[in-house]
Formats: sequence, structure tokens, C-alpha cells
Amino acid sequence: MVKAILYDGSRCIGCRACQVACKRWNELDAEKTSLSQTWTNPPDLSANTWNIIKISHLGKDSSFKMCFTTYRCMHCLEPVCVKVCPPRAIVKDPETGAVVIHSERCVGCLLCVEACPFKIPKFGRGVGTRKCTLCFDRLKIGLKPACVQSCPTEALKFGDREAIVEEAKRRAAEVKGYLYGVEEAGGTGVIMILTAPPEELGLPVVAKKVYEVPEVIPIKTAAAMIQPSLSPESLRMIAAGGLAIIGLGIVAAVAVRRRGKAKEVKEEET
Amino acid sequence: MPEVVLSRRGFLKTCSLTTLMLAFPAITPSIEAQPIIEKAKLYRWGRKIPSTCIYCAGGCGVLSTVVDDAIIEIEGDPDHPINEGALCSKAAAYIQLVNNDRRLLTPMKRTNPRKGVDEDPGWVPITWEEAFKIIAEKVKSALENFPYKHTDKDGVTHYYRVGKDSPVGWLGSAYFNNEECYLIKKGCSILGTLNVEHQARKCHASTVVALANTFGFGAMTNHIVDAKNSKVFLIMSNVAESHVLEFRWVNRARERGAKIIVLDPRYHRSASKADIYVRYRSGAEAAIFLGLIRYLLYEKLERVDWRFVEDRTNMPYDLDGNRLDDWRTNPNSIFSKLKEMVAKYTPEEVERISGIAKDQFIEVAETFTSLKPGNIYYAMGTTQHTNAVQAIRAQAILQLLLGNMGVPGGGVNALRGISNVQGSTDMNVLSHVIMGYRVPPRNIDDVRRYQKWKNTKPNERGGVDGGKTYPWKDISEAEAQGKADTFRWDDRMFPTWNALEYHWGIYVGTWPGIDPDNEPVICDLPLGTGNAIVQLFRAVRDGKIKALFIFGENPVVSMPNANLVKEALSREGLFTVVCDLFETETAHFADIVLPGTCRVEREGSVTNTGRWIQWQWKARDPPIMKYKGEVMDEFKIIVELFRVLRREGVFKLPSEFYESESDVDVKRVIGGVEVQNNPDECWPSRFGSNPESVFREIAYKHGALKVGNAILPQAAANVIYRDGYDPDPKYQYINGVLPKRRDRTPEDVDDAKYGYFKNWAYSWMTNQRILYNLNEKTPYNKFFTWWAHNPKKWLGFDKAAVWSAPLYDTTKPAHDPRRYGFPLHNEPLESPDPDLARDYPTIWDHSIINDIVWFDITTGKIMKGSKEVIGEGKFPYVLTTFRLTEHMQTGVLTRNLPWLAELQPEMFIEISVELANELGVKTGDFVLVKTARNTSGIRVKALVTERIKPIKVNGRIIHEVAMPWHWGFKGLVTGSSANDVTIDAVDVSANIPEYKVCLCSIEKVR
Repeated sequence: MVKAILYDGSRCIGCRACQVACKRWNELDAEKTSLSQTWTNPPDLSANTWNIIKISHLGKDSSFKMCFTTYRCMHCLEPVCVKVCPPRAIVKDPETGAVVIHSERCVGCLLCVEACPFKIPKFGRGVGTRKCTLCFDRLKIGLKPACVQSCPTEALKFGDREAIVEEAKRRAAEVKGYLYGVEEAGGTGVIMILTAPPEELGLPVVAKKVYEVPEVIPIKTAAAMIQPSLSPESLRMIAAGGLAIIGLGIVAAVAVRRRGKAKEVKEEET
Repeated sequence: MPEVVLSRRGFLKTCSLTTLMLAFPAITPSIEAQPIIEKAKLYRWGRKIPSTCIYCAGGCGVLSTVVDDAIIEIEGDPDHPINEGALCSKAAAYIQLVNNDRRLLTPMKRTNPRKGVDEDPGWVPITWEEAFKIIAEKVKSALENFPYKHTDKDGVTHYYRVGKDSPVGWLGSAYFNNEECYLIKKGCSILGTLNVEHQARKCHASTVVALANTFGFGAMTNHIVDAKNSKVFLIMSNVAESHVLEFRWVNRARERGAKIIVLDPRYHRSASKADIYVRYRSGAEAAIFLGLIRYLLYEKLERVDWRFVEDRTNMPYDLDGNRLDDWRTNPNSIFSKLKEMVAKYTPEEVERISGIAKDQFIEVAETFTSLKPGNIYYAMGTTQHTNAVQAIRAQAILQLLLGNMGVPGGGVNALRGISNVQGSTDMNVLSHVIMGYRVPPRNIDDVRRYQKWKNTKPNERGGVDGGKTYPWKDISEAEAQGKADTFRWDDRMFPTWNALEYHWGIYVGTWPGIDPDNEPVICDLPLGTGNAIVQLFRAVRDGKIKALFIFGENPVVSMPNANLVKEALSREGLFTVVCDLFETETAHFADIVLPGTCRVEREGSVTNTGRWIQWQWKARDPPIMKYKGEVMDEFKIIVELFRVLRREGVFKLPSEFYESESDVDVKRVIGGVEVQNNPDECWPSRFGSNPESVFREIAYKHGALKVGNAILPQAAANVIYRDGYDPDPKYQYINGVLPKRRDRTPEDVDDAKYGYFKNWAYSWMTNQRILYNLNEKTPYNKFFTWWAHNPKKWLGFDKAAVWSAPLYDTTKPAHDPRRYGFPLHNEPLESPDPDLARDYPTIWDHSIINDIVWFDITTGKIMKGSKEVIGEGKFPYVLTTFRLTEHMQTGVLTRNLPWLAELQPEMFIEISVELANELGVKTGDFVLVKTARNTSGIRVKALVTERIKPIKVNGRIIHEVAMPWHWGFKGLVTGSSANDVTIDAVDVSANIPEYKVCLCSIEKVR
């Protein structure tokens, strides 16, 4: 049963426990930051920052209000990053719905970075492109995502997507809030209830339909030439074959050099 | 074309290489079969050790995962009733405090004799042995000429020390466990000093005085989880940022329809969740609450809980203690007098003083008085003022009138700050109390009466058979002689002195005890009261304190008018020892620095703001240098410190001096057992030398400690914690230490419904979860206690003091609330409005501190003390300070952690858009903030925001500005310290500084 995270901006108090818990569990480095007008820090996601709370100051005088939203991988139901990744490093786990980048496969081509409608994956030198994993490893041992466990005011919840969407709709009606993530990109695994329109809180406007690769990537790059139907096995065969050819080439070159040297010696001797 | 020659060997090599390459894909793992990564594996198999959080006083459970000797994860404890596995951003980063390469690992000695912000101390690592040796030498020379005997006018020489005169001072710490705090107080007391203070003085000293004098106990009346039972909240603090997990329970109440009212000069993260947010001017708190009381008594009298008022407060009595049947109308009743006192705080007047628009104020008053139970949360916004005691009393009186006391969901909920500040306060690491909120003898007459009291039951109390006994058998006998006051005082103090005599191995009394009125007084407890913190640093500056210990505290950043502290700590000849986790701003001025440890690296009990005493288990050894092969931590440091001081002959008890000078053997006999004055045998405790043994001493069960053939009248050294240790066999599994209980089972139907969690840990007193709650089945403190009385007449238990006798003094001037015994509004010392300053003069006792530098708005002059004019100036803006979720106090435990520094990297000052336009300032510009005390000012980045707005006070626009105070010059991220400019004027009843209001000027700079 596909899982989802519920984020309730009407309960969130912007404490950023979710940010710290994520860094702690995934052992991510802190970033050098500077004073932020609304205290949102770091200002954006990165290879070392997989979720942030965006704090917004809306209105003025007596209509002033502080609103919060989370910003993180949406674990789309039909993720375009999975479709576009050449080495097939990004996988959607059928059991939980987690969309996970397997770093050892990532070649840093940045296609997922360009393709993601929410602008989530971020490249980091030396570590590749990274993002929230839905705490895939914690889920496997029966725990909730680190951010969900840590949230003091239960603004973050985790469960079956169906139940989460139902709860979100009920709660959004109760607090006269805005929904985000139910239909965006054809439906995601992060359902948000927000206290202001999503675009006012810094969330990207995303069409409520499934994103396909050709729509997103207008330029034909070498990687885009690779047919999406190639399976991992065939990719391996190709890689293996290529290596074998290179190997044979090296052996041949070495043999040629030796032969050349032997000829030299022979020539010197005579 | 070259010949390609392939030998047989070459051919074989090629084949194998090719095969290997072709086989490559088969031997690399496929993506689908990805194993669980290392962290999750280790986490699953590691040991889980519970403790509670080091940061705020919420008392959330944390769980450390230990693999070998490493802590690989610290997360919320899912079993804990308060946080249920959740943790705020600070606690979520806790592991980065524990595993931090900036931590101090060894003791260090200063080699540069000059001290100052710009002086490099020249630290050199030393061993523990060397550190203790130097400390012993310096304290010994500091204590030379400290008198241990005094001859009176009749020529009798008494042996005692005056606590305030001791040249040794101690600061800290609310971060230490109860056992460590207890030993600090014990050690300092037998060393003879009452110049002992810590963070509590600066945060909730006013709470203790106000609530103790109204209800009997000076702590949060309800507890954290109880918020879920409230129907309306009046929040005067910033709960969502300073006590984050408390907001979890506020939220739960909200889901059940509760309303949230937030009052604050700034719009903060708590305000973002309020149903009603109201801005007001800092310093108007008392006026607001008196206005709410007036609204209730003049507009909505039907909402007063008459039965509660009649049964459980002193409002039906007159000031002489006579009950009046017609008290609701009789002008002499305390009720009528209260009504008279609040008459002038109309909504119009409240608007004039506080800036709250009249209709907004009425909305607040309506909402809060119409929903029950109502809950008031407050913290520094109300406690850190010169009139704090009165403002808090006004809050308490409002709740008494509404019947919101002693009920689930109600209460006057003082949110304590640091994780064990409630415990350290209970252990009385303060200058005016000795243990269990009792006080040491004030003078030799107190000791004389005490000896007579001991003689009344010599077998139990160690008095002398046949000696003169205590004059009154009970309260009515004392009342008949007009001495009810004295009897009540003695009845409170003497049992604790008696317990301390036993547990501390000291002597308090006259010798030999037969004729207490004429014999010499021998008193090993220091007499009187010591210097409270603001006075203490003046004593350091003036050379009266020669040796200063600062353990787990950072006064260079936390004290108001901090430049005075830096000046004091730089004084030549002062010897300072600092113990902390990092090189702090205060350590920068020290002579010796000792490495501290994290709470997960040692054991002990900690008391949260809700009075829950919880045990901390040890997850791993601290990484600091060992001492004689033994692991060191704060507990062991304190034990060894005083042991070394005694061993090196650095100090002796007055009774020991008396023995050597008079050739007698000072001893008592209790229950047939000789009890000598032998502090060394009682150090750290008669029961043993680990934290559990010390807890046993602190909290021994009443009536269970047998000495010889007697049962000690008060077995617990700290009567507030009594029964926390229970020797009953059913508690053997936890060694009798009730704070170790981790049982969520409710005790009864009420417990299940309201969330008392009576089987989880232990609460004081006697496991009472909601103070004054008559429905809880505990033996003792369900009742409002003895403070509710008149000096001449004892009204009995369970009368809360709306009019408070101890805070009544007719010699005080007309504007002083103490003249009446009821709260009034008074302006802060640096009031922003000259009319208000004249209409509501500040309560200020010049004799407490006579050199405060302040700006007088009525004259435009900078003053020193009450009379001396030292300059002129313009300080047009009201300056207040605040806290952020992500940082803790002076930043020692947060600005050294990368994940928290990332969230809040820089110091800033919040300025309204309107003021910014006037000053020509935008976010990111630097400004210079100056006050009367600091005319060179501090350089701070401006944050122009809608969170702050101008307020209309007394018809004029006032600009208020606000700074967080977490920054200093040491740490991963550094910045200016807000307290370099704040004011050190204090509340006359509690000695707490007026951090929250002063006047400043702001100018744009490069």
C-alpha cells in the first residue's frame, strides 16, 4: 500500500525539528548560512539539505500573519525523475512508494534536477545528486520517517496514502486551508494543508497531470537518445562488452610494445 | 603492420581478463536487492538508554542508541508521556552536542595573567591533580581572615560565619542534576558561604516569591501534559518557541475547541497559532492583569467562582484575620479592598498604559473569563521586571477569582527555562535559602530558640535532656502571646535544620544546650542571606569575593549590563574556576577551566517545570581526561573538590574551631546514637558515594529513617522532595528511587482522564501532579498552605492569600503595592512615557543597589542611583529581548552545533517598518544600539519586519525594538551580546533584574 506524508501547516510552528532530524538520521553536513528575513534557513534545498520549512510573512499591520510550509521531495506517484535517469539510479519502491536515488549509480548528469517540476533533487560535488529518501531505510525496520517522529505538534503524519488524503481534505475544510500534493504532477506522496495559497508560500506551481519526459526535456541530449526501454541487464551487458573490448585493446597494445622492444634489442645486438 | 605475437601465457592472461570483465555485471549487486544501509542496522541492534533533554525544562524523554561506546543516535523517547517520541529542533540536534570536537577534554590553566575580551588566556592543559592543588591553594588564601567567631556585647563568644561576608562565591547550575546541585549547596554551606547563586535568580525568582506568598508553593501549579484539559489559554510567553513540546498539548486542547489568546510586544511563532493575538508595550503586564480583574469584578461578577473564593481564599476575612459573614459587601473584607484597588484599571486606562486598544482588551477579557478551565502561561515577559512579583500576583488573583486553581486545565503556569532549573531551585542553590525553601538562621536568637526546640524532644532531635525547652506547645498558645508568626516560622525552619544537622554532619545550637539563652551559639550553617546575583558581581568587582566558582553558567552573556561582569571578572587578584563543555565567553576570563560532561554521560535526577523528577541513565563514559584512572563527571568533580578542600585544611567548621579552642567534644545523641559533627563522613552522603545515595538523602521517606531507637522527625534533607525515596520492598527493583519509574499505567479514573501519569517518575510534593487539586489522593499538599494568614492570627490551611501578609508593609510609600498588600501597576525604571512614570512610579529600593545607571524620561538625564546625575541623552525606543526556538540561553549549547548554527546564524535586532523608514535602515544594514549604561553601544544587523509595530501609549506613538540575546564572542557563530546594554535594576522582593524593558537609541552605521 503506497504511503504518504501529511504536512499540516495549521499545526506547524516552524521549529525546524524536521530539518534537524533529517540531517541527523542521514548524517548530512550543515551549511554556512546568513541572516534570513523570515528565518527560513538554509534558503533552498541542496545535496546536504533534504527538507526545509519555508516561513512566509504575509500581509501587514493587523492582517499580518506568519505561515509555514514544508518543501521536500514529493515522492510522486509517477515520478518523472525515475523516467529520465540514464543509469536508472532512481527507483520507486512499489511497497512504500518511496522514490530513492541510489547514489552509487548516480553519474551526476543533472537530468533529474532539470526534469523535476518541484525543483527538488540537488547535485553535490563528491556525493552526486541527492534528496529525501522518505527514510526508506527506517521504513524497512518498522520506523516512521525521522521528520515525522520528531515533529512536536504532529504537523507531520505518515500512513497509507488513501487515509492521508481523506484526513487532509477533512482538515483543510476545517481550517479553511489549501491543499497541495493531492493532484499535482498526477498525485504525490506528500499531502500538504496550507494556511495560504501555495504560490504565496514559495511552493512551485505544478500542473495537475502526470509529467512525461519529452514534455519536460525539449533538447535532445545524448542521454535522451537512450531508449527508455533498456533494462538494467542489457545496460550491464553493454558496459561489460565495452570493458572487454577495452581490455583486449590494452592487451594488444602491450603485446605490440613488447614486440617493438624485442625488435629494438635484436637490432642493437646485430 | 606490426606482427601481433601472442604467447601461450599472454593468451591465457587475455582470456581470463576478458572473462572477468564479462562476468563483472553478474557479481555486482542489482539495485532491487539493496541491503539496509549501515545506520539503520546499527540503530536496530544498539542499546537504548533513556534520559531527559538538556535544553528547556519541558522534561522530554530522549533515547540514546549506543553501539560499543559510541552514541550513534539521540531521538525522542516514544514511551515518554510528554513528548511521545517527538523533539524540537534543539533536542533533535542533541547528538551534535555530545559528539562535538569543540568540547573541552582536559582541565586548563591560564598563563596570561591579564584578563579581558581581547586578551588571549594562553591556555595550557593540566591534570586534575594539578587543578585541584591550585584551587585548594587559592581558596585557602581567599579564606584567610574570614571570621568564624564573634563576641557579643556581653562578652560571650559565639562560633558562626556570616554568609554574606564569605570571600568565596559560587555560580551554577540549572543544567546540573539534583544530586550535584544538592552537593554544591551542601559543600558551600559547610564552607560557610551564602554567596551562592545560579540562573534561577535571573528567570523565575519573582515567580517563587509571588506564588509562594499567594498559594504556598512557588512553582508551576499544573504540568505539561495537563494543557490538553484547558478550554482557554492566556499566553504571556512564547510557548511555541521556548517550550515547544508544551505546544503539542496546547494543540491537543485546541483540537477539542480550546481558544488561544497570545499577548506579546512581538508577533512570534506562538502568535501565528493564536485565535486572538494582541500586541502590548513591554512593562505593562501588571496593568493588563489588574484590568482583567477589574473587568471580572465590575462587569462580569457572575463569572466569579463564589464557592471557591469563599472556601479556599482569604477574601472573606478582614486584615486582622476575622471572618466576615457579609464579606461580599462589607468594605473591610479583603474582597472589597481588592475591588477598590483595581477600580482605576478601566479598559481606557489599560489602553493608555499598555497600548492595547479598548475593544481588543475587552475581547481578551470576555474570552478568558467566559471559558473554563482557563490556563495562564507566563515566563520572562512577566518575571523579569522591577514589579514582577506584583504582576505575577495579579495573574494568580485572577485565577483564584475564576476558580481556575487546583483543577485540571487551569493553573498559573510558570514555564521554567533550563532543564533542571526547577531542581536547582528546589535544591536552593541561592543566596537567601538553605534547603527545601527554608532559610538559615537569621541571627543568634533563632539558634537559641532552635536549641530549646531540640531540647523538647532530645531523643529524636538531639537536644539535651533537662535543658530549657521550647515555650509553646502549639499555634494557639503562640497566638495567645501574639507570637503566631514566630511559631509558624520556627515550625517551618527547625525540622529542616535538624535534618541537615544529621545529614551534613554539622552542629547547630548552643553548647552544651542546657541554658540556650545564655550559652555560646555554635552554628555550622552560615547565618543570614548572601549576595543575590546582581549584588554578587558588584561584590566581585569591589574585591569582596576573592575566589569564584562558575560551573555550568555563562554570566558574561547572561547578566544584564554585562560590561560590569566583564569588569568584575577582570579584576586583578580574583581567582576564577569555570567548568563547562566548551570555552565559553565566561571561561575566557577564568584562571582554571575544567571540562564538563553531557547529561547522557552520567546519572542523576532532574526536575522539569511541571515538578516531575525524572532519572537520567548513563549512555556512555564522557570523553574527558580521567582522574586517578577514574571517569570524571560533574558529580565526581564536586565530590572531589570539597574532599580536597577538607583534606588540605582549607576550611573548618565553627564547631570544629570551638572544639579545638575550648577542648570539648561537640556531639548530640539521637535515639541513643552519638551523632558527631563529622562532615567528612557525611560527604557526599552517609548512604554512599554515588548519585542514588545522594538522592536517598535528599528525598528519604517521612517516618522511615531510624537512627538508633528513634525515628527522625524529618528524614529528607529537602522536605519538598520527601518520599521520593521509599525503602519499601516493592520499590527494590529501582533501589527505592521513585523518579526511576517508567510506568504509564494510570492510577485511577481521574489519572486516565486528565493525564496525571502518577506512576511515571515522581512529582513533588508527595507525587501531587496538580497542586491544590483536592481530588488527587496524596497525603499532603493538596491545600493552599500556611502563607495564607495574618501575622497575628493563623487562619489554617487551604486559604490562598489574595491579600498577602508577608508582602504588606505600611511604611512603604503610596505608590508601592507593599503598602497595601495588593498588587498595583508600576512603571519600569526606564519608562518611555513621562506622564506614566509620574502616575505609576517605579518600585525601587535604593538600599538594595545604589549605583544603577539609568535614563530618567521625566528629566532627560542619565542617572546613577537615585540622585546622581551623570549625563544627558536621548533614548527614545523601548528595547526588549527574546528567545528563539533554535538557540538556548547564552548559546553555549547551540551556537557550537552546526545544525543549529545553520538555522539561526546571526545576531539581529527587530525593527518595525515604520521605524526603519525613519532611520533610513533596511534589513541587513548594521545599526548601533546604545543605552544609558552603554553609550558606546553594540553593533547589530537590522531585521526590518512586520512582526514589530509602533504602539500608541498615553496617546503617543512609541517604538519598541527587540533583540534575541543568544549571541556572544565565542562559538561557531558569534555576534554581539544583547545583555551588554540591558538594565540591572531589580525587583525589590525577588532581586530579579529588569531585562525585559529599557530605553535605547538606534543609529545606522557602516
